[in-house]
Amino acid sequence: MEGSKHSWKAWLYLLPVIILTLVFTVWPIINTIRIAFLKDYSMIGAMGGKTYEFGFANFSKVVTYKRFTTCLKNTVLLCVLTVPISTMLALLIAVCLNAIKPLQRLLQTIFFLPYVTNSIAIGMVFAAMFNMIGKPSSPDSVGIINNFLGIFGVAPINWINVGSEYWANLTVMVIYIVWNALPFKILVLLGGLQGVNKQYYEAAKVDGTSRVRTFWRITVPMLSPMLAYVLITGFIGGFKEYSSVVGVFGENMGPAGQKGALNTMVGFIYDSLSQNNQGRASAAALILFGIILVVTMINLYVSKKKVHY
Amino acid sequence: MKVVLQNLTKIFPSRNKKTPEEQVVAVNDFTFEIPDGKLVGLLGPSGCGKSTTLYMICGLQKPTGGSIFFGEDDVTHLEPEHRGVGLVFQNYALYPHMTVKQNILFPLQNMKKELMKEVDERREAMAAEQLAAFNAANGIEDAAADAAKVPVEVAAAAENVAAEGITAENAAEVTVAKPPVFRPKLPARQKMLKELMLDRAYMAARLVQIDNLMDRKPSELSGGQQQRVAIARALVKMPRVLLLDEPLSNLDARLRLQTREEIRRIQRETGITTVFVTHDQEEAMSISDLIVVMKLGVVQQTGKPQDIYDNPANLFVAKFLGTPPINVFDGEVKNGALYVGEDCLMKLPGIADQPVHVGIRPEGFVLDKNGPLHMELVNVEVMGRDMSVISKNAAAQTPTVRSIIDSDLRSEIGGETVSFSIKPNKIFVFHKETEERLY
Repeated sequence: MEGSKHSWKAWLYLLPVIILTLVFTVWPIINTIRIAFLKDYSMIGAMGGKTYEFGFANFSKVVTYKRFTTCLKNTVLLCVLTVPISTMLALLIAVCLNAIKPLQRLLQTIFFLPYVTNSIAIGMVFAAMFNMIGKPSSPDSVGIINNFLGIFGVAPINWINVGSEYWANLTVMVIYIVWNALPFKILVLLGGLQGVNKQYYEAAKVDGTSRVRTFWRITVPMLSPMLAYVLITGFIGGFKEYSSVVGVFGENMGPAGQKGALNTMVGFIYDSLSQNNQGRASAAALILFGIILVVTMINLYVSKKKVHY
Repeated sequence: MKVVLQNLTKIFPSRNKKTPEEQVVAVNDFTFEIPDGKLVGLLGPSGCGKSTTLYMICGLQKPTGGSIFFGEDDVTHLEPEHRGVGLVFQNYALYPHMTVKQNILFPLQNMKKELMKEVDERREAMAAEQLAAFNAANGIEDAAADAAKVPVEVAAAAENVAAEGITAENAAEVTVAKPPVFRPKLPARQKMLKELMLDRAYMAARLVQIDNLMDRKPSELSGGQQQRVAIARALVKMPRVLLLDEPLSNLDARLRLQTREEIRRIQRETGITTVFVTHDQEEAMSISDLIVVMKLGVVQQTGKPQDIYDNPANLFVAKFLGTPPINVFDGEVKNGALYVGEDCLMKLPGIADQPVHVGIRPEGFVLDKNGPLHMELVNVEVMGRDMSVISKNAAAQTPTVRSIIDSDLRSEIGGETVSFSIKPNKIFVFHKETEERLY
């Protein structure tokens, strides 16, 4: 090939990226795998020239930690609850947005706002909204949600404060994550909807297809590539959930007095790192990687059968 | 089903509210009756409102004024799904994620209720048959009287099964205690419905000859096959009216010829009143029973293809129909005679002196050394059976004039000029301003 003579030029242009990727992506991944299999590894010890025994000790330790199982449970629960809910809501909103003409642009922008807002900041606002404890001096500091529920005679619910229950915490987290995940999904699905040829709908109308049937038999299959994309990225993002919990509950990762009650896998990895236990962190990271890999493979397998490209 | 269009009008309002006069009158006061079981072609250049008319018949677009009748029913304000129309889109609009079979079944699945009635009728008929056989076998005399009560019997039989609770022990007892009870053996309703739908789908598929492609996806089909699937999908619900929007425009030339014959055959076999839209006059002429020529939303002429060709109402229709197209000259009526340039073509009594358009069909030219029309010879194109003589005339509105002559007369052409006489039924005279036909 003619171009192969000059291929060194191409390599030259690619070199900076290749170096950066090797140093900051490939090597850390290899190193993580290596560290995960070294018993009681610590960076300080390693710098002092200490050598470590190879084995699965880190994994067995991590798996038997009660904290780890809590994190795993929280992560899986958040994932399983938020991804389907947010995808369905996003689909509904996208279909509605696509059906209206006036205000479509404006609403699109409004729906997109959460995407460009800092998640910690949103989390703090959510924390304030779901707050229950009002100071005697200013009862107004009771959150807007409890105030709102009060209108219907519902007694204030302890969503996130001291002594709150797990289901209440989880509800807040699910609402927050769903709300936060909507904009991107709406954007993708709306884009997909606008690409669907209107004649399919006209054909369906002439044939007397009901709205529900049109939605399930035409809209959903036509959107299936976008839905698959949204679901796969949603699950990957869901398993990496961390900052949302920090946003609502702070670094405590749980209501006051219940440290770590809402902690997630990524949170566990951070904790391990901050306790200078790189071995444990690496092992947990590999487990998380394995879970995401398996879930994504299942997603891809299912989408191969169900997605129409 | 006869389709009547009465003063049908469609106006698309101006996009800019400040300039309402920019509204587009897509269809203007269209009145026409499509007789039952006929194939009608709506013909016109793009933007003439023919597709809009089709979509109004279909119901996807609402007319601004006028009304549409299917038989005696006023369907003007009916939604498309209640009109009983089948529509074939220009690009077919086959659902890409469904197989051919699923595509054809799709409309049927929307009308399960109606189909279920048919299933129930069949079941009743089957039950009656079985009852007659049962009565004959058991020597029951008044079979005719019983047969009339079939629906009751069917219900009663079902109750009997539940109430008696026949078991192995008491089976003998039951049969001894009671006279034989009739129980019709019928397949499940849902199963029958499914079979009925499949039957209908395969019937439609066989009609358009795609029953061997039922498990393919549309993307695995050729354009012509997709077209057939689209027609099958429109036919499967047995529409009162079949509508085709530019059915041949996405096919290559050969397939087009073949498919238009197919459409004709299918329409004849089903006898469904069919309206199709086309900009191709050859297509419209070749298969339609009637054609409607439209221009800028206004109907120019309606009638049988040959009649319109032989007797165009105005210059537009004359120009639009016929390949090669009609040749138009600037002419003049003087003292009761028609002149093109200096040549006096024919006597034309009864028409006032005025400048006119003169249209002569290509086949209207006859080689004649003493003919009145003198032309400058440019070229001769031999096409086998006949030939095109291409010539020039200062009065012609096109650079060259094309005439079609029998190729046996090849030897008679030569030199720099050629003279023709004109067949009187192939020459038309139109008013200079209104372009209406004068002769």
